[in-house]
Amino acid sequence: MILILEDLPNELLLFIFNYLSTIDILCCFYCLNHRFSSLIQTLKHLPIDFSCQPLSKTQFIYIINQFHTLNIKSIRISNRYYIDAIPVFSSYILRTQLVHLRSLILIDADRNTIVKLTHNCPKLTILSIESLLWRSMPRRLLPYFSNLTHCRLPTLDLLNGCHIKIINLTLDHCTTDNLIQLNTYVPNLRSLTLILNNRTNIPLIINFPIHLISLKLILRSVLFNEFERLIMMIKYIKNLTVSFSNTEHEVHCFDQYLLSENWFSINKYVDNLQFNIIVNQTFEIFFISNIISNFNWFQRKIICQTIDNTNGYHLFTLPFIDEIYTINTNNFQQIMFNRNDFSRIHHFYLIIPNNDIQYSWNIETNCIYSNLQTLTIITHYINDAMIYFINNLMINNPIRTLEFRFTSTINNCHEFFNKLIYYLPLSIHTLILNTICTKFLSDLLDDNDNHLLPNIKRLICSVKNQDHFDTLILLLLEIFHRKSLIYLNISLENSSKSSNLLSGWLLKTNYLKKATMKCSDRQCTIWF
Amino acid sequence: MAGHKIKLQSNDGDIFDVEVEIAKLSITIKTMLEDLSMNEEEIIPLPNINSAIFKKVIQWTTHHKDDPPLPPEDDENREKNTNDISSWDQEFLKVDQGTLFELILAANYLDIKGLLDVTCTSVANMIKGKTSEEIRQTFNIKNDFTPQEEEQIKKENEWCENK
Repeated sequence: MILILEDLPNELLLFIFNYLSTIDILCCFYCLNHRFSSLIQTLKHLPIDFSCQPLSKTQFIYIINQFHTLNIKSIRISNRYYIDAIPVFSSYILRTQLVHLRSLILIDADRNTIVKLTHNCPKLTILSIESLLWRSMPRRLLPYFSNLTHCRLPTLDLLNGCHIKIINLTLDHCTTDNLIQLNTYVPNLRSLTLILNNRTNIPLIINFPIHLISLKLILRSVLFNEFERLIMMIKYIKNLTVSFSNTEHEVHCFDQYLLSENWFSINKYVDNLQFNIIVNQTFEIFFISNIISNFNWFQRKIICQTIDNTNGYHLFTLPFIDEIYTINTNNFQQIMFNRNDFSRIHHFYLIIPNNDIQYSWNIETNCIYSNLQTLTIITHYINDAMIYFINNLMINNPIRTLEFRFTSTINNCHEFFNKLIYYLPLSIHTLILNTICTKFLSDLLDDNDNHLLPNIKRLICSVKNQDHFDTLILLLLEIFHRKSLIYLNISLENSSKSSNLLSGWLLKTNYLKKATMKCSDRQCTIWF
Repeated sequence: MAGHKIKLQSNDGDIFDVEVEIAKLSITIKTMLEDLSMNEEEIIPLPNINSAIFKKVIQWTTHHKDDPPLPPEDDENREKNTNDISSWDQEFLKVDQGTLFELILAANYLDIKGLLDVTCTSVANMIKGKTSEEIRQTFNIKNDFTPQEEEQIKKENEWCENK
């Protein structure tokens, strides 16, 4: 007798579930039969991350419709790559009680939704709100959470009163007042992450929480002496992680970050110092060998690379501390890295000027980016060597999002895209083409619809004008109607005369019958 | 004692001479030998495994006999990584579904964690990204919902569909 999946005992089916995300489990086994439905309901403390994999509107609805039967511990939800996903989600969970929910992560939710959701979840231990609309949010927007231990907010002002259980806090837009109020609002903090810019004045005296031992600073054009003064106000700090960058328009005084002697006293003050420093266009020209040798007293391995042909430098400790790593292949030096030096990296940002990828082979062979999810490539155009390089880079890395930015007009994209897309790894589900010249995509779709983008679920691209849009959207809808596409975003270089890019007759077709759309004269987004 | 062999018998009667060190990758066999003081001359019966599957298990354990021990489980990170199947294992697992499920059962019975991990990873990779209807077809899963129950499920989703 040949065995089938259902012949496995429950314990082994549950073991297989360990290798699947909660979303995979819910989508794949939704209402298959009584056994699988019951089995899913036995799962405890489920984490649901709506931002990690592409979901169609139907899949999204099926998942939230199962919430009332599940033991959900954490939810992460974003409006990115969806249309109004958070309001739909919110309208559902306000009808039900997610009694087991302890962690809620909201990305780009509006103010009203944040208020409704957080008031409905008073037992949260983890709350994260990332929002571009933070300036419009009033003080004390959130309710009091008696069990909150980990929190990420735009500013401290949103908290309502003193939260004695919070031990880990991140502030994305820390203000001067926030620095002063830390000890009042979160007196038992042990780990703090702050994003500071040059508009934040570091007060003369800050009473940091006395248990604070780990600090991560993300500094945007903050002067070195200001940063140093801030550190020295903390009584005992064990772990200090610093990320710094300045803009190309601010070149004054940032050389200080590259000077070894400046770090010497900070290194003595903390047990564990790590940094990732990007100084754009300094006044001085440094010799990289001198920078490195001046750090001889430092216990950790450090790397220094030039950023481009200007006086820009990238100085960092290993293992690399941030999730995004940017590299210009012209300035890449052959350095032997350890296997896990870049394991934190989720997004690899690769600049290939002049299409010279001579040094890129070192990136491909030396580095292992085990958690890489997004690869962005900025280049003039694509050639055979680059396709070979990209394919090799992707063999050992489960990249999910591939983004191309072309810096010049591309005439030969048709042929090369044809090759690239044919070999595109199955793991890639999101393709972003950041170029105005995507007419080649229409030509490709016209020629080769069966082989093109078979696994791409999200496509983000741009076209020149309404005519190019009309051609492309029709081809995409015809081809993807029977394929995998679930999210489409097309923007126009020249805005349309019409306020809605989608023609009336197209809206009445079967293609868009159940889709949610947002259209303006310059952009069209469709969630299928 | 490298090269020393024991005799293991599959449920269809075939007897296999297997090096002790390779056989001991199975915690079940290791326990039999150590805790139950079984004589190495004795034939150890494996009543849950047929010879075809046991040959595959021996093939896998022989290839992996020098692997370092697996790292401890990380409970916080519930979803395990499914991207790191070695090319040898990928080739080894190019088998029909029935064989794959039998290997899972054998790995579970013999308590060979590495083999159980890689076979379950392989099944998880077959599942990922599929719709429930595709799962039903791929794994031949019978629908035992009554028409009334199906109607109820459809109704439950309607309010959301109209959002």
